Amino acid sequence: MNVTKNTSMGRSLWADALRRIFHDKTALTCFAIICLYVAIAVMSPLVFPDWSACHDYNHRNEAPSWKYPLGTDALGRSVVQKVFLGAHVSITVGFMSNVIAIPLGMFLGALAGFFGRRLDDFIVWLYTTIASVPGIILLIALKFAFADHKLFSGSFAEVDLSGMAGVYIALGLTSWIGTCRLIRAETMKCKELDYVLAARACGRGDLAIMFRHILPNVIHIGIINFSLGFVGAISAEVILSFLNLGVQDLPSWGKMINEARMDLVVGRWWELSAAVIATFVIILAWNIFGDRLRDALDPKLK
Amino acid sequence: MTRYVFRRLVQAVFTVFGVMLLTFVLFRIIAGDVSTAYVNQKLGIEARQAFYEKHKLDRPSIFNFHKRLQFIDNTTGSHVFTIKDISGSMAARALNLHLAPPRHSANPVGREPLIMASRLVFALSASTPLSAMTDNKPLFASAPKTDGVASKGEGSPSLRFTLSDGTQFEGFVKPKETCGEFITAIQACPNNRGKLTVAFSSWSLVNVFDAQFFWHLWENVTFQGRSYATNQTLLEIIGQRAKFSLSITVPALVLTWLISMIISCFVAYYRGTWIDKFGVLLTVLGMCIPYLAYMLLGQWVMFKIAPEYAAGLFHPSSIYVPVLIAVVAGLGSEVRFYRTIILNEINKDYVRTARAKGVPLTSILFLHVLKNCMLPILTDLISTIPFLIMGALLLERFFGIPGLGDLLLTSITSRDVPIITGLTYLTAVLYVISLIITDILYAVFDPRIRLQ
Repeated sequence: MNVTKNTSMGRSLWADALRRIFHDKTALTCFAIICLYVAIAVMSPLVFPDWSACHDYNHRNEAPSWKYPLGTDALGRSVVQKVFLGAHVSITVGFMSNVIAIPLGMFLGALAGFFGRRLDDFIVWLYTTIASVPGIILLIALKFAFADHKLFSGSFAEVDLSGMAGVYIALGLTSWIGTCRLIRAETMKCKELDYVLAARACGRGDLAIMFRHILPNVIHIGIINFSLGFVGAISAEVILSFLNLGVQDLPSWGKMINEARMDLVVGRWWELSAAVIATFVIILAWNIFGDRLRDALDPKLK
Repeated sequence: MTRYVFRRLVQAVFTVFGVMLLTFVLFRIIAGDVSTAYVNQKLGIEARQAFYEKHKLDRPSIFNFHKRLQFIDNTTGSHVFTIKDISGSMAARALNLHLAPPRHSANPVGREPLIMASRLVFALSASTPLSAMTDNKPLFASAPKTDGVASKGEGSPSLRFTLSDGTQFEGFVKPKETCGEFITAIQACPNNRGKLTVAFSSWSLVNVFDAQFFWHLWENVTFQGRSYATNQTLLEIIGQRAKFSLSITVPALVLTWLISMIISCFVAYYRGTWIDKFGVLLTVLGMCIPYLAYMLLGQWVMFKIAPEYAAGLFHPSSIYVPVLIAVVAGLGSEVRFYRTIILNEINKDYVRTARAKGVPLTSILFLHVLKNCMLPILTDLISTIPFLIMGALLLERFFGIPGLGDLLLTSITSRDVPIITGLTYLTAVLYVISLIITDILYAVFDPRIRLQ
């Protein structure tokens, strides 16, 4: 009885999703681009360790050449190097803000959806409140509130909130709402299903049901939002840096656009276009990859 | 229905309260003391105190259980009621006795007693040491002389009281004196004879709410918060600036809506063909270009084509470029959203029935489908209206348009707290109202939805 396996046995959601992604050339291309950016982001601070000493006043505002493939900026620094370090900032901010936002949103959403009543009212109130303040105001406000503060000051894990950490913590604290909303709705649905009833009949406690039985069934929403959240985080970082509220001592794409805003009229296109294209490509890749991931992971869209 | 609306309104009140709480914590508690940006440090502590008092920053933050020491002048006359430091005393200054300057009326009959009040102190009682009321400021210019010397008269630090009927007397200030001792010493002065009474201010419910938090709520709700920088109320500022924001955002919204409706209908009509695919590709690409790039490129292109329009807001025609940029930047996501809604609708059974009956595709699309799509599209439109008044923050900053969005960014950098909190409150209120309207619209126009 050699029954072929794939017809008799159901595939798990994850295996199925992986298979779908793997067969999708567009998604794979986007994933490759993302991997490239991540590699650049990880490597560039190791390759170019000291950014503040890079200026070279003999080669200011030079057009692209063999020595400087993307030209130099107003202080004679290589634009390639600047873009790569900008990738470091962008990817770090995108990653860290989602590391904060997604678990926070999932946890609060699951709590609200599972326990309902007063807790639900409170969490819904919390996210409605935060959602009714325009996002950019909240971000700038948090960034300002963080201005002179440090987390865990004095300990080995001191975090200076005036720099990059401030940006991603502010982003993380403002962008959990979408995830929370979705997870809450999904948890409310899952709570009513038979397998939860069965688990309850077997005597499992509330927390065990929530973490062991419901959360694994809604975690794909977290993963989808993690990839789509990158888009928002990267754009927000660009805007914050443009307003001079972003990262201070490292170059970032928003800062590059801000510094080069008068260059276009004079004919110096390289710094601006490098930053814009770098931002555009990564946002495009995350957008498409996030969409494909959603198609692959969300069974309702099959 | 009425019950639902009522419940939504109650929720809305809670949400708006939450927003005010959030802005209070962010801008008044965490942000700390902002007076350094608005009061010249060289003017000294009095100027700063005056600033605090004007903007009610001298109040305690949440509840006011503080009391004052009140010097009540019971006499009537034409002199000015003053309390002055003489011979080395700094008590009047340290106790902040300029807080309630005496009002002087021409007609002394029936006027209320003049009151000079000291600094607010939490839990003030007769046993509170006088030095606890002075915020660590010294009561004396230098170390007071010993009691033996002081009793000889002249050199001892004291307060000179001048009452409105011209009575003058001096009360001595001693080190380590409690409030109770201070009061009895002054009331026992030989010249006093009940003309000047000293008492603790009474504690009342009004006082309890005389705190920063409740002033913050009041200022927000009435839009009477005064800018630290220009001293205008928020209402005046909105009156001056809202028109600039609206002149950019309203045309941009209308145009974006119209153009994206047309494009998405077109793309949905040709769904599945290369036109559709190309359109979707364009919208995705358009969504991924950073907003800043739109602004810079738009300005540059306009500078090449018609340089006179590319500058700031000098004449009415200057709104063309910002509006154009806002429209182009918003087109991608809108077209994509509308297309999804239209395609959702096209796949429904009634469309298939109509096609089977032989209704031409164009009339299905524009008579039936579009009508059914309008509800989600209109509600989406309504939910963006509250953000119109703030204008496009970045556009206003970039093109130097003196609207509310630009004001908000400026006041955040200069920490003009009443303006930031007031504008945030305004947006939040409009947003919450638009959400309620959206829900009600759904209930009215879509009979499948029941409000509970």
